[in-house]
Amino acid sequence: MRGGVLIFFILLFCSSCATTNLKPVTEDGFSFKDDEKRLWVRSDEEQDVLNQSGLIYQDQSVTEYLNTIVAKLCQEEMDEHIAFKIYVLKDPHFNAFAFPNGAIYVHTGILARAENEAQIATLLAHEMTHCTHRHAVKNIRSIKNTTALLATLQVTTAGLGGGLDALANVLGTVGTMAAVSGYSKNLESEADKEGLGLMVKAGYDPNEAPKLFLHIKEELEEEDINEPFFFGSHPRLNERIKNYERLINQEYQNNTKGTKNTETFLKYIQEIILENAELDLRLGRYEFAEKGVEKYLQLNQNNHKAYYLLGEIYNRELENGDIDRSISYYQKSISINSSYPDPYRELGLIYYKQEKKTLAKQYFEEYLNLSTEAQDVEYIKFYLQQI
Amino acid sequence: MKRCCVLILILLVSCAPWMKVGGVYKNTKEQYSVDLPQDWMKFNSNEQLLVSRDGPLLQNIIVERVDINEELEHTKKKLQKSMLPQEASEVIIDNISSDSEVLNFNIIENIPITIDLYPGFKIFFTYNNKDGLNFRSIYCGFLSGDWLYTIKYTAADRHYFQNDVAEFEHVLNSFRLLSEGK
Repeated sequence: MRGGVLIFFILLFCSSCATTNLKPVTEDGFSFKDDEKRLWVRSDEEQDVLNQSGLIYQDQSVTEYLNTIVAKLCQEEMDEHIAFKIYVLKDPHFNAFAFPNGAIYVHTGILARAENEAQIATLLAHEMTHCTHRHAVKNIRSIKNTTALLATLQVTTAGLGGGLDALANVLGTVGTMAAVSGYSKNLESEADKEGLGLMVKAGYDPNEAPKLFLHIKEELEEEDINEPFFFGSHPRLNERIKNYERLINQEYQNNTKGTKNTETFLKYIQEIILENAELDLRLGRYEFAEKGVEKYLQLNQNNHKAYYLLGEIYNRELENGDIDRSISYYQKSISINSSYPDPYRELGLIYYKQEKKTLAKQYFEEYLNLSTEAQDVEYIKFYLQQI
Repeated sequence: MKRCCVLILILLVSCAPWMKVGGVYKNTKEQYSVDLPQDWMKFNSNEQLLVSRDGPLLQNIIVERVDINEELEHTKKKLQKSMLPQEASEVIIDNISSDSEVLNFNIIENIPITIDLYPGFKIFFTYNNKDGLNFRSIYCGFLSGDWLYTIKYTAADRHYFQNDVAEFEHVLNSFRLLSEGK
């Protein structure tokens, strides 16, 4: 992929000394340029790969809900030129990005950590502004000298960490630019300002806008990443927070009537919170996983899967693991839903390793009764033979 | 001139990235031996044993020893000496399924096996890459002290996987830990 990125940028570099002074799609006299049209074609191709990757979260009600937020944010003149569409990507890292053609990809990680609709509206409005203000083509055209070209490529392709290198592997050039390397400081600032205007016009509380950054900060500190990547890498995080606060103080200080839509948001997002916790667990990000499950349990106290995941977190975590605690969570899971097989297997394994054969046998047999077609049936049969 | 040609030839042969192999292969550094299929090509690498008949993207068998104290590439989960084979297999599955180059990951089977008398695991899975090519893969392994020994087979779903799976099974069954490694 990295070779492809290089060739793509070099071709664009060679062919485009065109202006970066492009009107937003909302202004009179706007027209798409040839290099922009090529960018859209490439975006379509990259989206095809992404949409068939198995990484798209398939819950129609959630994507419909997110698209209704976009509809609230969308001004009539934007709609004429760009058909915005939201996709949710199964990725626990805190990120979102937009292709220039209006396809916006939001990670489960950002949805699971946001507190209300106003915060997500801030994110979506920001990404929509990248599209309406044609930041992708401006960004590429602005790469006018070799040093800048090389610097961009370094940012695009270097060992990125924090899930970004992984994301870059599956994305193409346009997606990588939007999701990984981000846009220039000026373009990001423009997206902040215009996006904030859109979310306020749509009736959201502007004071919620900077709060997303607290979650970003948390992730950056936890993952030991120096540069923020959400909304691009510039300006730096603290500067970004100050920009938002300044904008709110200057332009929206008296706006206290905006909505947050917390309840509606959490109603639609709650299952994503649990699924995202499972993704964090798979990555061994135990603290994030635990926070996710606890957030979910505040919304839905009697969920067997949530307690099973807590059991898994304490069972798998090496440094702060606690087998007794994990046993109690598995038992709680069973007490809520006695036909859910997974905690039986885990209890069987714990007792098998502790050589408590009777208990191990009891839980393994129950697991086999409930889960005849599980992929690990052969292991359980093997353990039962050993007991 | 002749001398120069000979030198170049020697250089080319000695630095060739691939060499023909077949029969018993001993890795004294990593303390194992396997019986490799005849006329397959081995990639010259200090990292792992990689052999292929038609090219590594079409089919490959990889044998390697991994220090369980080293971080895995795609998950922060760690292997532990005390893990049962099933538990080790689940960490490996999480690592593979978190690899962004492995798309539409699907486990067909995860079963206990014995490798050279060691209790181990065998994960059979399918996936595709971002170019849409479908692959089948078998990932076998077992824990021995601080090491995870793995014997893996990956091949293009169409034609190649079925064609060479018997060769892989032969390599797997021939795997032996050398006495110092036990």
